[in-house]
Amino acid sequence: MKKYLLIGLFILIGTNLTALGGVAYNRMGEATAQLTLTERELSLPYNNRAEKENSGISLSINWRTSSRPTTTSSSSNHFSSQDLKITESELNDLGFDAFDVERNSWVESRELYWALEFDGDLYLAELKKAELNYQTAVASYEEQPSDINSRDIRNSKKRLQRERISNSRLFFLEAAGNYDTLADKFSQQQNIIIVKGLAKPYYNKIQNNYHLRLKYLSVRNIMVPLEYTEVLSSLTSNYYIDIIPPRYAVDIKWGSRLEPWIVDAKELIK
Amino acid sequence: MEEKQFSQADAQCRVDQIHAFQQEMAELENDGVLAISPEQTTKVRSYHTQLLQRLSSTYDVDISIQSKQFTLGMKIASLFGALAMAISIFFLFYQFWGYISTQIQVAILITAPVSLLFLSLHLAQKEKSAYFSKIAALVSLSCFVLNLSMLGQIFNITPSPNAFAVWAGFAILLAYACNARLLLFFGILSICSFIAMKIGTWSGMYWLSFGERPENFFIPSLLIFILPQLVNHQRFSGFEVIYRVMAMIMLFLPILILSNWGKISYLSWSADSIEGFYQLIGFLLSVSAIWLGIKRHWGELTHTGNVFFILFLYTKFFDWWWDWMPKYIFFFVLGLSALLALMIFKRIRLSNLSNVSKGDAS
Repeated sequence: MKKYLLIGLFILIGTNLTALGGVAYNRMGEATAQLTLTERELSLPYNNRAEKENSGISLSINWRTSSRPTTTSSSSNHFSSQDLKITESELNDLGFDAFDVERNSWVESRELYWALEFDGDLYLAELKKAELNYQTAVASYEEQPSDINSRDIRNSKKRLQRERISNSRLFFLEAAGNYDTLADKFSQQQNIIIVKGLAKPYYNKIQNNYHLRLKYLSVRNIMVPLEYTEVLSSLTSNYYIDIIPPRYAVDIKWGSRLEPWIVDAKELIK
Repeated sequence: MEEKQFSQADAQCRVDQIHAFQQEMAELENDGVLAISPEQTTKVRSYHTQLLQRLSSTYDVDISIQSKQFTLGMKIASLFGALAMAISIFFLFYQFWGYISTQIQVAILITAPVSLLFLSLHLAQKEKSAYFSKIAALVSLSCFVLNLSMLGQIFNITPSPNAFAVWAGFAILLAYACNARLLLFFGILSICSFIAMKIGTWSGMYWLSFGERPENFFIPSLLIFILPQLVNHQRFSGFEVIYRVMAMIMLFLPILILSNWGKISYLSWSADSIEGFYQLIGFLLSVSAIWLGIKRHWGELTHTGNVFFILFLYTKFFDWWWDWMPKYIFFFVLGLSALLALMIFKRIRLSNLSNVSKGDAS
């Protein structure tokens, strides 16, 4: 029994020391990125039946891709598809085999490095698209007043409001097979974070082109430590249709292992 | 000293053998086939009584049918209790962890599996039948699973397949310490998943997608099958069976999937060729498993081989005939195939019986 006890303790204590050592290593030295994100980018968990018994609070990271250029206000056209067109050489650079992707519809996901831009050019472009969309809808209504055009104005106005007030400003910018490529490229930009995420390629036989489907971030949620939960504990999660200004802001750092942690949280409105 | 080399299952087997001997002796005496002197009867009876008492006190085996039924009830209660306790620990932690600081969370997560490890080993040493130690061991394992998964959530750690390796190591350790087959099952499942994940990552895939390439399980299934041949499991009841059944499931299930869905294979042939190849392999290996099981007296291997042979056969029938055959003919053909199998098994059994009787006669 002594032998079992010693091996058991070695496994338990050794594993915990390794895990906690990894956490310390991640947080040691200078952070790879630091941002202040708001409720727009970090949403509270939905208070469903399963979550009711979970007293911990973790915030999920809302990232998006640029919507495709459009002039109509149909909501489906504004949907962030998380699906990118990609060239054969870009696909090979990411570590996939383009020949294999074209021939085989079953290609596994890979963990890649993603650069995400916060409140930058991609967000401004999205805001401009929404404004243009609204102006087009107004012009169409003035030219030809009808119920459909009136509805288009309402929809595009909501879209513009949502873009200004509640939509996430964290945009997918670029993926790479290694960290250094992105770190070198974006080292001067303070609003860029590099994280790990999953992506799966596929080949569109009709359009004869390659696509990369961005699946999810490797670390999708950020745990809120007890000292910062006071700001969030009385709040309930918003639904997409609610257009309300963010109620909290959270300072987050990303360490050497690209794992985030919260360093501060504050309420934005009373 | 001799008994301590037995497993509890071996001791129970000896008890059953004694009861069968006593019953057969009574029948032989009634039929007038055999008569032994009263002194010899008394001598055998007192030897058996002493042996039964010794086995009962050393191994906690059942020496009557009633106690056997109670034992079965206790085994079911212990399994149910262990699983329920393990789930309860998860929900208990979830219910309250939001109200405690990170340092206390970490302290609780580390001390819970450590203290339960101490408890389970203490109980395993103290108890003969080890019901409570098995419960404590399973709860200790679930606390360790909770420990690593919650550390991952608390510190936002990138998920890693290495957790499965340490869970497997701990589960297997507890399984051998407490003679618990359920823990061995979890240990084998975790270590096979870990190996399959690692093989998957070497080919470039994300570790959680390991199930998307069923061939990743072939190497772990081979290792698990070979292991009981290299290590003596005489003291551990039913461990070899668990190893072999798990190895068979992890070999045949991927083959069954690949025989119906060839495009997820690593092989660079057409999907049809891959499916045909794995169908053939499936039939050959399941027949080989039945043959090996009969040859080595490994009943579990024969049964698993049988189950998968039938699955391979019927999925093939479904593939060939379901769409175009009227359903009453389809099921009639299934019935006919079962009758054919019955006839084949009957002939094999008869030839086996005649071999045994020839052996007895010579």
